[in-house]
Amino acid sequence: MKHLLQYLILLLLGFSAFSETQAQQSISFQHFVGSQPLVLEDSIKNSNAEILVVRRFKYYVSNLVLIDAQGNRQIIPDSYYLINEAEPNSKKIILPNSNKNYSAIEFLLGVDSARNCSGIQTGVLDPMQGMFWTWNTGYVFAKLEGSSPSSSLPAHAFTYHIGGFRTGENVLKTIRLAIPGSSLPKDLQVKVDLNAWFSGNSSLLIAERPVCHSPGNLAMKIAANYAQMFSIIQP
Amino acid sequence: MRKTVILGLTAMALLVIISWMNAPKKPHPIAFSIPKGWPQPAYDFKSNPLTEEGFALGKKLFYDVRLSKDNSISCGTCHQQFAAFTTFDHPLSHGINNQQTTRNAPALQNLAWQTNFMADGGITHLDLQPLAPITAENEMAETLENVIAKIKSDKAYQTMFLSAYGDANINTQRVGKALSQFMLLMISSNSKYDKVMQGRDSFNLPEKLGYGIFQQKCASCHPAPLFTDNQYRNAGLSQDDVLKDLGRMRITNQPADSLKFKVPSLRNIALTAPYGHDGRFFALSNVFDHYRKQMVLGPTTDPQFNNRLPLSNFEIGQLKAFLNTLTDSVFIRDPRFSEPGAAAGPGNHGH
Repeated sequence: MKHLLQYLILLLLGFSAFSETQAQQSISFQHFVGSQPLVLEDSIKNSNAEILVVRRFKYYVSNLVLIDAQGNRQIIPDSYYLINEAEPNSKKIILPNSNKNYSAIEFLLGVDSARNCSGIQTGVLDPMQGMFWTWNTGYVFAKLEGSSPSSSLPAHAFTYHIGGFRTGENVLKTIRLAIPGSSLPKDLQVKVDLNAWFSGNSSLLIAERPVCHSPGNLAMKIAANYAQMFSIIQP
Repeated sequence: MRKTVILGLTAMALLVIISWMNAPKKPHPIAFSIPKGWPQPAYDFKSNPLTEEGFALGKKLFYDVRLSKDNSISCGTCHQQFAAFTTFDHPLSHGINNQQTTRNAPALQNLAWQTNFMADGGITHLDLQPLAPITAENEMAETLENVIAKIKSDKAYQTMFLSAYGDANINTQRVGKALSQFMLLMISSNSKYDKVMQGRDSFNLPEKLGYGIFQQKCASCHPAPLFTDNQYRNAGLSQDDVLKDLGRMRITNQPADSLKFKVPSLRNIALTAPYGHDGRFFALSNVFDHYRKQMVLGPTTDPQFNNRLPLSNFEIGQLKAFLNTLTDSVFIRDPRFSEPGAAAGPGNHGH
């Protein structure tokens, strides 16, 4: 009887050890301002030479797709992630086990309109996460808050809450990143450069527009900028 | 050997009994009945099946002041049953710390037939609607995090979530769904008008004449049985220079939607004064005077009002008689919706 128990325990241990050897692949998001790694509450200069301190930086990554060299798309079901600079664990997306090699990843920067329109969601999509407009139904897709001497607002604050999924104000962005060497590394490093918010398609000066709090033209302009913030870091 | 078997069997029987006692009982379904002749409701009941337990939980939440920051205001504070769930005698409702809201509280009735909520239609799902007043700085001013924490720390709620959902998990979604369950059953379909249509009562002469005028002059925007077409229209109300409310345009950013507001239902209208999105009309007489004399015709005013709405004093009298038949005294006294421990009546709600 005792032997049987020992045998069972060994067997269980063996199983768990085995499952750990299965390589778990992941995608990590590294936040930068230009070449400087982003540090919350640290003063830094952006591409428009405006000094700023970032207090919050969060955004939704959803509808993740892994694409192989033949163009086959493996859709990760129910993939919704809230990447939050303040929570290191949130910056790493663990991928489901797979032996395949991928040449590109694709995702939505934001939350698809279906999830905007079907009542209250749970988990990272819970309105409690502070990424939801209660008065004008819809998710804030990306949030950048902080202060800057350039801002004319009280406490020199700037707040950019970017969202909008309806026709005419849609800021959902499909991001596609090619994986160098067409081989997904164990931990794919994605560089996220905040400078893109301020100088992508057009320049966004904190001095001129320190606030964006609703869907519309300004949100669309900023989203067109930040859609360019992602790039793959060569291993 | 036999002893072991008996012991084993007894233990197993005990285990079965204990697990049966601990297993949550299945919630009891409530059938949603559509009043005769009404359209199909817009709400998706499959995503939130009505149950007695869910309804009871929703009712407790609706009347719980802890949903506000300083534990002073519940949903029921501004949505009073005797006033068809508007705020009695208030143009604008009150928020915490002596603040005022910017719009007149709407009646809560027949919500299952609405797809968008608020005077500007900014909220697209009934489950989401309560989150706006709960979090608005000038209303209940509480964070969802704090609301959930307060609920989680309450033993009574723990039990009620368990019996409504089968497990004790408490989250924003479940709070919203329970509140919807309570509000979805607030159906007002028992007015004199309804009885007349069903052949169980008859209009007196002024009511009958008023009904004719209503159909001719009002029903295009306030069609039966809901007495609203759920559209957004500019009915010629000038913009208040303090509130500067753009109405629907606040949501759509479209200049064509400037000063358009949701057409309100006229059910229980005798109970829901003051009128207008900002409560500027204290009595029905003010509303009629607006339509026939004071309308401001602007670029987005509904074309049906190109000549305003001519109404004689006689017609107004008959219309008032008809509109009074839309009062549903069963609905406003229905104990299912009453604040626990409070008798229905304005006397208990000084505010």
